[in-house]
Amino acid sequence: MSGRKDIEARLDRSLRNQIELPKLGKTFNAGVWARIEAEERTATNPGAAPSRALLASRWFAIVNSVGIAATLVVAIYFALGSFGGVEPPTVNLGVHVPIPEISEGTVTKSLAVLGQLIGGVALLFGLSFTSIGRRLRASFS
Amino acid sequence: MERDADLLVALRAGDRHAVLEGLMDRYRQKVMHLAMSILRDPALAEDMSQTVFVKVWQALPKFDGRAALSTWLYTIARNTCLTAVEKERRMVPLEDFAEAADDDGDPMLFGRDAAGPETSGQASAEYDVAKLLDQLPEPYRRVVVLFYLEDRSCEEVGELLSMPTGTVKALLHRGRKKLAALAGESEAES
Repeated sequence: MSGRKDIEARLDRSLRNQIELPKLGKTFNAGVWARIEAEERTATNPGAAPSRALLASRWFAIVNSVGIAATLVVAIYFALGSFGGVEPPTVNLGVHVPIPEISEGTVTKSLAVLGQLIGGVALLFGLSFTSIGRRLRASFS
Repeated sequence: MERDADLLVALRAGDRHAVLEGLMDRYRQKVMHLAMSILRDPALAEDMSQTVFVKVWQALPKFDGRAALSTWLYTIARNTCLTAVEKERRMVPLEDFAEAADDDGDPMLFGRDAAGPETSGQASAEYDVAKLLDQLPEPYRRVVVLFYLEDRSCEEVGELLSMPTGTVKALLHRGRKKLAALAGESEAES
């Protein structure tokens, strides 16, 4: 068992020997200037390197436009058929596809199961945005 | 430029480039030490030190000269590092970066077998500083690490941490006592 003085002396020696850092040189300065240049380039020409958020918002805008256009086409098609007296063209492809007969009971049961499934998924989706959910998601990512 | 007064003259003349270059030459090592004492990860500390000087570059036009340049710089450095700690919520165990420094062949940092000129025969008599510091609570650890990085000057540590020298001495005294107690415990266990 070492004495207190001995422990303190050895500790001081260990701290002196083991706590050290490499000396920074001119490469450090060069690194800082490179970062400043990069930041200023981005600030003066923001279009050069679009951020991920910007790219995502562009994609959202494109997908939304496509969705709105498709909805409009379908709405106009049915509006013409319903109120304009214009008969939508029917195309006979000459293909006979047998449609299976499903009883009303099976349909009701399937809809109930599907409803519960969608409800469960929606609940989980909602819970994933709570603080516990966020923590859980973070631990998996 | 060797003095802060010269840097201030250059700043008034609008030579921001010269001021930053002068600040980096004079203070990069101190900023790195301060970052290291807070972050305890050499790579992150260097990255944050560079971030500090980028922030200084952006803030230089707003520097009003009310505080000394060094005090202003250390305040930016401390805030940047503390924000990084909060943001990343990471405190890398010292063992990890001692091993990382070993792998890279970098100079040993808090390493276990860092041998000073007189330690080759005494390696076994040295304590595992990394392990002991890991058990030391803040703010003792920050003061102890900075004290040894700053060539054992309490005044320098006080300036870097914006603390009176007396507070640094008290924290250092208590920190070393705690470390000695921890070292004694580990010795008794082995």
